[in-house]
Amino acid sequence: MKKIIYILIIPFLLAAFENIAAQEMNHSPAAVEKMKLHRIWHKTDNAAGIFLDGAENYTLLNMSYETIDGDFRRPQQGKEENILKFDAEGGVNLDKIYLWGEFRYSRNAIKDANFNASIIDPFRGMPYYVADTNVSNWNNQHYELAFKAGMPHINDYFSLGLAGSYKASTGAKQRDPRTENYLMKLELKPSIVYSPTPAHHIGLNGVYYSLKEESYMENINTNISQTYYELYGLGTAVIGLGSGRTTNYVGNNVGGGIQYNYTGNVDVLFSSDYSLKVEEVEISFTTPKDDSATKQTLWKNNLYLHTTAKDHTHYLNVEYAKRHIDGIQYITLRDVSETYKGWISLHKNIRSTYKDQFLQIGYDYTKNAQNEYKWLAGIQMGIKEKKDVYLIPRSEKKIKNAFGEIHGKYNCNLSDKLAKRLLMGISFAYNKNLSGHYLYGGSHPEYPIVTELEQGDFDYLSSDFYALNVSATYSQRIKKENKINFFIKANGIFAKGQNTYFNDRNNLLFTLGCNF
Amino acid sequence: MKKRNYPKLIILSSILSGMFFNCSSFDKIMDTEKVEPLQAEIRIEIELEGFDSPEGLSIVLMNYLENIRVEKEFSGLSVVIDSLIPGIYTLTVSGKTYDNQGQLYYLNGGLVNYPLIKNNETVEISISGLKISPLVFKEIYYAGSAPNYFRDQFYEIYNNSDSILYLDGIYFAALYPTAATENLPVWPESDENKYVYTDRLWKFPGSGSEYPLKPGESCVVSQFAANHQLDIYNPNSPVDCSSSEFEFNMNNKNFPDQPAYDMVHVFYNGSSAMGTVPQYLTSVFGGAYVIFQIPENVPYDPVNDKNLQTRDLSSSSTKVYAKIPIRYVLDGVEAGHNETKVKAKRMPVVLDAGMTYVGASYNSLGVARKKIGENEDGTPILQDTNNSTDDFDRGVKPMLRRYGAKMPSWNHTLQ
Repeated sequence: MKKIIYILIIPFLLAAFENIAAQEMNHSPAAVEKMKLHRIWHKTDNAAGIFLDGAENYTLLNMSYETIDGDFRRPQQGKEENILKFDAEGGVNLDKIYLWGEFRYSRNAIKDANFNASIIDPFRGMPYYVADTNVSNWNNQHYELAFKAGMPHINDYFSLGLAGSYKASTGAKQRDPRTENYLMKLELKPSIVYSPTPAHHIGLNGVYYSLKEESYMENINTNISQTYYELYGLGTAVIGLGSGRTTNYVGNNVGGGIQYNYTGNVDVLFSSDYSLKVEEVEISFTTPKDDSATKQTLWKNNLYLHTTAKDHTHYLNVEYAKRHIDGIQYITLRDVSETYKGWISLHKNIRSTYKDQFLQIGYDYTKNAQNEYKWLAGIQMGIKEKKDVYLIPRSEKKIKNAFGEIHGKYNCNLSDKLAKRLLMGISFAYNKNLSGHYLYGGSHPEYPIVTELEQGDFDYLSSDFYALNVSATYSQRIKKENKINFFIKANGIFAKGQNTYFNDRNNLLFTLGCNF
Repeated sequence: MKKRNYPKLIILSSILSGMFFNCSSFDKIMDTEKVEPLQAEIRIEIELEGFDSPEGLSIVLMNYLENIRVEKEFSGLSVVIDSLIPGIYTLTVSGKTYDNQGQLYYLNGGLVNYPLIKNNETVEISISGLKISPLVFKEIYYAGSAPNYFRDQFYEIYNNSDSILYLDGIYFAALYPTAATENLPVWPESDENKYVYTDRLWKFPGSGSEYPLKPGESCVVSQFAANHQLDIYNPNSPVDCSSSEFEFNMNNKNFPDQPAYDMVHVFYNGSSAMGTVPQYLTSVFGGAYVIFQIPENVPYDPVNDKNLQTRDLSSSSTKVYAKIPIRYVLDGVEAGHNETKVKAKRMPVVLDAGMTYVGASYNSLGVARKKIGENEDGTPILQDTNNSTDDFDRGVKPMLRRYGAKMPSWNHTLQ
């Protein structure tokens, strides 16, 4: 495992620090943003195609502090969150290969989260975990290393690439029943691009990742046993009393993607990705017991289009994603014969299904100025649909929302001498619920898992809301001859739920960084 | 040369990624089908002679994990039940019925933790006559009181019959494992499910007729027969156990011998010595309690008779447990953390088809057998269907001699 991590770290370090000595472009925040809008292959899983985006050398470093507060949230989110982040990203041409690397670290102090006693991210598509009603703080840390390596033109037609990432997270709930969690995800994505002509490119990539999360629950005050609930989806739960359980999540994902890109007056890229993931949930390491599992299929389709005229660019993107999860429960019995074999799995069934669909169309227009934009305006709209069902006894959670957003940014040129810029942005988003219901037909409808967790989650997800986002970024070079762009950014989001259950949620983000 | 190395490196890395691929988890999960309701046929075989008709018998299928209860009456020797969700069930057949001679019997039988997972499965259950015990657990307080006081546990045993019974020599035990758990021990197959097992055994003192219990009288056996509400113990305790008839005295100087009579210690880890534990604490999550009486002509000495001892065969521990013959059990009550722990039953259906609970530890709550009538003297007639889920009121404030049960004349407070 250490060797794999080293393999992941080396490209990142090369990409990040190669640029310090060799850069000429002005990498103001608007320029970096515009560069990323243009990089359509970079948005796919195909690393072999990243050189087609234009292999620009750059490095981005920033630290940020984010504070989130308010009751317009899902029940398992903290009432308050404070997040400290460090991000680094870079791309570099190294001999005949283009390397891109990224490192992200965040430390999340979550306050007053509810209904989660055993999993770092309760929204990651895993319905089987332990919840409790003791509102608690969580201290989480996340580390992520990622790289992409593109090797153009290994012959006249083919290019190869490899992308990979390693993510590690730790999480600790701070109140009984408490837990200490460790999560690891290792992902590799080999890829190839076939270019029959300079204008036409066909890409193919594979995806594999392995995921593991271990959860160790305990009570520090062993004199008081805590009530907890083992969740089986949509409110179905088994009540427990004590200190919880040890849970071992092991997941494997395989998939692939296909891309077609035309480059000419219009750059078009269509990408379609399909993946299959299974994740098994075992209780206890000493005498493992199959508890449950999920089987997930994910189908993502993206269309990116942009065309640049003399001083402006049009961007269009369309995204459609469909996720289906089968929730599988085991029937197990402990062997009490003299040929003791531990827990025996007798049977398993799909007991619940979770379907999510997402369609979004976005358009952006930029008025360009060299490698930056003067101003940007855009619009997005889409539909989100959720259909979750517990099969027998039947429970349903169905939600359909439409959403839209308009946004604009103005890149104010304060001075060319030191490339002083003030980038101001504003966006307004609105979510409209079209339909939805939550019906629980299982046993114990009085459990708080039904009345507070699932109902509260439904109320949030089906709520109309608006969100206003305002940002300002000041950037400049330190010296004229020094190409390093320092910037300071403030971003504020105010979201207001449009029903009686919620009030609002505020998000403030301060970032200090440099681009070169 | 250098140029060619990069593609090789990428191809090699791609192959490496394939090496991590774990096929077994996909194989295990991919063929899983959606749940479908299933049908099962339950056939009964009445082992007692003289019963031609199953009239009066009914079956209850309980899936405690999912809180599913299905009940159906027998009209023949089998019954078909449909729309069942696959799962682990406890099947209990019981009811009053007449034999060919016109005598009324209470019959029962059942299966604990039986997996109903195949459609159209036939399940066979043997039915035998229930020995209706005149001596029953009336009230049990095991949970303790806040913040973490456990010395106020008590067990009240009641004469539910219309004749005098003698406590002398009757055994008391809490079965092993002490708390309900799905990690059940493994007992010898040669025992043929004829025994239950305990780590410690007590019995009532007396040589045969020293401790009579008249109809409507009860005796209280306390862990520590003191007034627990005193400041030196725990003012939060709901009970004053100083009027208890018996206590489990473990010779703890900090909690000295009280006026109540001492229970006689019989067995612990293969010996009659008590060991070093300073109190007789049964699980605050709920134990599985039995009282049993060995006939005079049947030898029973688990300390010296190695045939009445065993180890837990699933463990490397050398700890020794005593065997309790099921057929001599007068009454058994199983308590657990909550309703879902019925899946982790330690006690066979023939002794207790259900489980009672108070939902938490140290919550000052107990369980009390339901009153279904009154004797002429106002003492209660208590429900006993061998199913503590049904027979007990759960989460009651503990109370000695509830419903006007009388104190025996030999109680130390009356001397």
